[in-house]
Amino acid sequence: MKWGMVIDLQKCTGCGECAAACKLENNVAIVAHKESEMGRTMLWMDMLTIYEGEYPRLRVRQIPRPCMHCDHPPCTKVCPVRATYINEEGIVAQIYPQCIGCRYCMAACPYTVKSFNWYKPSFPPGMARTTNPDVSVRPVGVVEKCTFCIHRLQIAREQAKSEARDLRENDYQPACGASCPTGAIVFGDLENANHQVNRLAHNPRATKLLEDLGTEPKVIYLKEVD
Amino acid sequence: MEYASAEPHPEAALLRPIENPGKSFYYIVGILLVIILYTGFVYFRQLLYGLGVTGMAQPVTWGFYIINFVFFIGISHAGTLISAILRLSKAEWRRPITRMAEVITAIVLAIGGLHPIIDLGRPDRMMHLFYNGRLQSPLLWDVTSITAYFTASTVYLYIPMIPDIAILRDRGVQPRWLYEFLSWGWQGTEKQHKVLDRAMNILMVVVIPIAVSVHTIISYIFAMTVQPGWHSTIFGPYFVVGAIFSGIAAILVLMIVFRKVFRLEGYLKHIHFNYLSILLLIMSLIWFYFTFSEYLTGYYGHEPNEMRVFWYKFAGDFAPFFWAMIICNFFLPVALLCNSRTRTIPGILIASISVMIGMWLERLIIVVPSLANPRLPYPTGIYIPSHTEWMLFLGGVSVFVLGYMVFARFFPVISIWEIQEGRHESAKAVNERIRSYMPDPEPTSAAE
Amino acid sequence: MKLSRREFLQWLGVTGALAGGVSQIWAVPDEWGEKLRSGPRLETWKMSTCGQCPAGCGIRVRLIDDIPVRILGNPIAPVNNGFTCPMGEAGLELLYHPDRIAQPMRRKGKKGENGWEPVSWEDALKQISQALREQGKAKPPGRFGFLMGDRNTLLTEFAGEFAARLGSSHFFPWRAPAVNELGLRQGAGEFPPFAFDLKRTDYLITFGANLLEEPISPVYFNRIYGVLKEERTRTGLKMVHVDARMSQAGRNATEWVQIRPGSMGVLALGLAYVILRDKRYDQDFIARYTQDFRQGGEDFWTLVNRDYSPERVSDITGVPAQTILRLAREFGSAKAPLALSGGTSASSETGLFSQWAVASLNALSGSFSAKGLWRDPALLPWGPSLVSVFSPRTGAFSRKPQNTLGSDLPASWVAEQLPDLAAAGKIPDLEILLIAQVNPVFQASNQKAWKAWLSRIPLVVQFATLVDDTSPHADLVLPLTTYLEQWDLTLPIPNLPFSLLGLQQPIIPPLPGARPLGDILLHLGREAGIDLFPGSGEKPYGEYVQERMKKIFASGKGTPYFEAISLEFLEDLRKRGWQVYSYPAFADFWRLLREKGGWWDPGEYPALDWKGKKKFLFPTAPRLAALLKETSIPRSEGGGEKGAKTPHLWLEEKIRRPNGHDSFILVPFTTLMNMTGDGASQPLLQEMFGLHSRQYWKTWAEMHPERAARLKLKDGDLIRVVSGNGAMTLPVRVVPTVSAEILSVPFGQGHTESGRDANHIGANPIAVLDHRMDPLSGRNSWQSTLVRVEQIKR
Repeated sequence: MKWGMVIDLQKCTGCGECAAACKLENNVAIVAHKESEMGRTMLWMDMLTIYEGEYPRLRVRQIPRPCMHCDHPPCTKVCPVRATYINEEGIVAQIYPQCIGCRYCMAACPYTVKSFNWYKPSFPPGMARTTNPDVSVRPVGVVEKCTFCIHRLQIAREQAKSEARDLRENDYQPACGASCPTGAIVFGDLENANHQVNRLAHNPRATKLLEDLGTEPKVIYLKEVD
Repeated sequence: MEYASAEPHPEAALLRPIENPGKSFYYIVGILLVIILYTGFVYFRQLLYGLGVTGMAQPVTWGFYIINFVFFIGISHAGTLISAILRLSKAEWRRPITRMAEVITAIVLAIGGLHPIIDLGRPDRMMHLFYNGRLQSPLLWDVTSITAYFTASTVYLYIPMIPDIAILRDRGVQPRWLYEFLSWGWQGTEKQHKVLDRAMNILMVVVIPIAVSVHTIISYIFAMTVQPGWHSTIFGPYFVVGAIFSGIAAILVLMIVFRKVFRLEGYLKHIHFNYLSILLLIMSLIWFYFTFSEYLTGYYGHEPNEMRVFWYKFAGDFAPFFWAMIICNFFLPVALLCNSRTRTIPGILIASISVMIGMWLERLIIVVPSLANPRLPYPTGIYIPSHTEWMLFLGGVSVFVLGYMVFARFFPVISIWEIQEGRHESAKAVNERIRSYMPDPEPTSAAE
Repeated sequence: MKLSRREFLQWLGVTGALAGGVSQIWAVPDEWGEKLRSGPRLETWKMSTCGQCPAGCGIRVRLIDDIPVRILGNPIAPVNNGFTCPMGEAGLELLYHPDRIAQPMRRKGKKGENGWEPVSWEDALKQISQALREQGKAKPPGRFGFLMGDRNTLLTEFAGEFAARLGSSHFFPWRAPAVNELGLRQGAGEFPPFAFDLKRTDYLITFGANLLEEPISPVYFNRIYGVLKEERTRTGLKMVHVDARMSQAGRNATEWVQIRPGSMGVLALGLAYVILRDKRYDQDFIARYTQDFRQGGEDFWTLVNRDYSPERVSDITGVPAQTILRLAREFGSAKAPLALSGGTSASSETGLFSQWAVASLNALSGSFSAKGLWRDPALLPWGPSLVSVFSPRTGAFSRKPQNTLGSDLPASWVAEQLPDLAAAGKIPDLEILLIAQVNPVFQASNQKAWKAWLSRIPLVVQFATLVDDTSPHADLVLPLTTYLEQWDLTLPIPNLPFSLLGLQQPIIPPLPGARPLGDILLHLGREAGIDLFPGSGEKPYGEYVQERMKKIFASGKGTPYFEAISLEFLEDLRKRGWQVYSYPAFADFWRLLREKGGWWDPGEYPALDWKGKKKFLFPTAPRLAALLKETSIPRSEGGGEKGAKTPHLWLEEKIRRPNGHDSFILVPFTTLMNMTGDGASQPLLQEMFGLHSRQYWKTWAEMHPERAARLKLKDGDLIRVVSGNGAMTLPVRVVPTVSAEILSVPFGQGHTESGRDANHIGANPIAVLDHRMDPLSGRNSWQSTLVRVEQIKR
């Protein structure tokens, strides 16, 4: 089993719902005004904007950017305490209670996907209730990033087990994929021939970010063709 | 070889700071303590609130702490490595310098070694490095090598100090118990001298590879990632050269300061400065050679991400720092030290301070631009160090000065017994040695 | 954060009152937290309808131990099919907002100052109902006004009814116009405007219509755009977006055409010129269903041929003549071309003219009669809604069924001009003004006039969930519940081909202190002696909603939302007399509604049929002149300067060009995260405010690289933007997505009193705009202000 994601940029309209859904699903802290000015905004699912060419040939590419969950992750290699590791299903996971906050993984990640809890994640009074009870809020001083909503996998596994069946494709979808209005984000098992991602990953439009680095990302983009 | 304590010592100038520290010593210690206390408070605040009090953010996630870490560890190469190399090569002019250099190593290493801990988001989980440490991570290599280096260099500082401590003990300098304890029953017997020599010989051989490894490994922290500007095979030697370079500059500054303050003109002669400054000049040229190769290969490779960092340094936001570094590390020292008319004590002082500043800037230029220019189209990161980071830098420097002052208050900064040894035995030994280098004279007919 | 909280406390005047035990700040009860921590963790889901914008997306709220923790899309809601936009997701932040008003407050001291004292609901309501009764006795009546943010719900209609029954026609709904609304209102006499089906077009040209970021249902249009973007790689569908800024619609189009702000109508007529010259128009449609095309005299043909040659159009619009020719030929040769006008096309001084000209492209191409491309707006089984209208001829407000407006304008168009209308005597001096769900002091560009007008009205009552920038100018502020705590029905969006009613139901009991607006109005009505809900006794607004649904049930039409099955299959079922659900009694129907989240009628898709309609009118000179003459909306620059010029030339003079190297046209734009300015109170939306520009929690100014280079500005530099009406300081973003003549600034920040997450962040570009308006529609212009840019040394 090798979980992966395909993002079809031809379908994506760049609405940003994936980023919002991710932030709420994973209780990603709101860093507020002054912190945000400093560049500490935390977006596990970010939106990259690339300007190509000049008017009238100007094209603006908008690329949703989760963690790439590389097969050869540069971040896990450098972690001194195994707070980030690649599990046997290919998910690059974080162990928050183990992280010492050295931020080496952040410096090593060529995709700059990791965020750091510079302060204790705080929610305005009352708004702490809007947090998702399935995901723990991180403590201060640890690195965090997209986990492919691994908690959903655990819930889906338990559910499947209690119903004495195998995990189905739609049982486990991360929040970004489940919330994408255009269906541009598809998630599944890259090794399972029945899963949509398996087929899409072999699409001729398929490409990966910074492929030349040999990190083997498991987030595959289908290029925009017009 | 033994002297009664009441008698004036032949090397009295070296004992003066210990026996009569003077008032200004306490004033300066007081000022330093205030700075250090305030730094402690600032650090406590950081512990309480988290790293948010620094100016670090995404994508520049490493800042002053890592820069200063690399810088301080670099300075630490001044001591042990230079002293060991000079000892090993039996350079006789080393005698008044080695101790001073070794002390720099011990103190600066302690300060530098703390920086990664200051930089941790969760210093309370520091022990995870031991429970859960992954030996594959360059950070753990670092922990290992710095620990080894610190151990080796303190031992290397301490062992040759034993005879001097015994002198102080015998002269009845207070606090007596300290010298009593530290002199380890040194009586100056022949056997003891033999053991001491042997220990020093082993240590100086061991300490050189450790010292080289420390800075190589620090460079590996950067070089083992794939980030543009970091991922370079040249980084190991480049860092070692930089470290020795900044280290020599640090020794020179200290020597000039001690010479002035403790009136050691008799011990630290112009020849010492001349030799060391020529070493500094050579290191400056080597450093420039490495820098040149590093950037020229990057430029010719013209890899887009590499070039983004390149131009950021050469013509972008970091250009003032970059060119200041080139001036401080190359043009100024070379100009001053090439010319024997400017290779005077003031000239050397200016060159050394300039190199220290330049090498700090080099660390800044290595750490920040690569982080500030991510590969993907993110905006260029901005890093403005906060008050906390400046204070911790200043605090680090203060701890160094205080540490050195306290050391100089209790122990001689120039090795008394080695000077004496030099006076008594070296001339003969050197004479013999030189003779051994020389071709044997043609047998003359007179000898027949 | 601390500062804003302290200010907030001071603002409420709590610093003194707190000692008296009056806690003004609503906080989540402690037992909730306890329950979440240690409760049995029972998960339940409740269906409702989103109220963050008027789109009417179905939502599904996740509750743990009866406490809402997450909002997701309702998978069977026809508008959004299970998806939401970031605003929809952020809804709970409104519900749990720490700055929610907890108690009615009465002003202490002068208007505009921040002095407040708490009052009881009884006292507050008594004061209002007394004022209502007194104005009812006054001669002439109608000294009572009601300004309400129209969230496209039944409540708006109910509030209009409330005002009418109290003898006042001064009910002013406030909302942004739908796509094509201004143009179709004039060209086809239609209100609300037709719906359109993007899936059936093979050439889409959008004039400023930013379907992806406007509050006409961004989720729906993002979904459709996703499909179109994928299909166009196979079908060759072209999507052209015409605007001065490359908005999301431009980024997702196949081509973006830069245009000078306000000149979209000129470009449309320029396209018409080429289409006429090439004879690519639909002669059949024009002959049968249009008027003024070529009957002689000052007709459309003459106008276009005389004044709109590509060269002249190119000069006015800044679009190269080559591009005009190409676009016209592409449009003229497409089978089902669709020209839409919305967004920025409506918010200029030539707004109505522009939209009208764009609408006439659809008439020229005959696409109005293309099968299923256009649809009549969905009609609900209970008949057309009553809307508030403004008659430019008489200057009076009245209520009419929405499809019989005649020559009147929807009141929502002129709502921004109320202070000017009052100054011109079109509105009597009001004794009492109710304001609900709208923040005119922030949202209108004539803010000074608004403040002055509000200060002249003896009793201004504001109903709001959070205090906002208008609150300091009110005399009473009454706390409202959010859409998550009340009953309501959302009505169909005119542009969408759905006949649907989204059910809003309380997912948790209303928070102590706050009340639903419907209940307040029912109560006030009873106190003032009118019964809005006959025979109800003391029944709440929720029962009224139920009562309305009984009419739907009785009509037998439609069905509660159902699981996804194909429409064809459904049609088949219906023909055989089958129903998806069976609900013999209303109770069953109602239960299903609550379970499914709403009602819709997929069969109600009337394709547009011109046979029963009035003929389409082209924007000819005489028509425009007549319109200009009969509008008596007070104009900022005075009327009567028509002179000898044709009205077109007169309007074209309003298209501005920058005059100098530091001169720009200031063009505010809206983002999906904050369409009306309300989003600023919600931290999630603040944090994602400029997601596409990577600018969060701030306002910025977008500038073309060439202009920036000439001004020696770098990305991130601070600039001062100076207009005749004020100045603001912002960082500049140098991006190629704006035309060189404009300075584009997002709208939504710059609040002073809208909760801790909104206050004192960024600047409000609307506040520095010159007050200019479209003389034909009465809408404020956002694109006629020239500004100078000065660099600020850091």
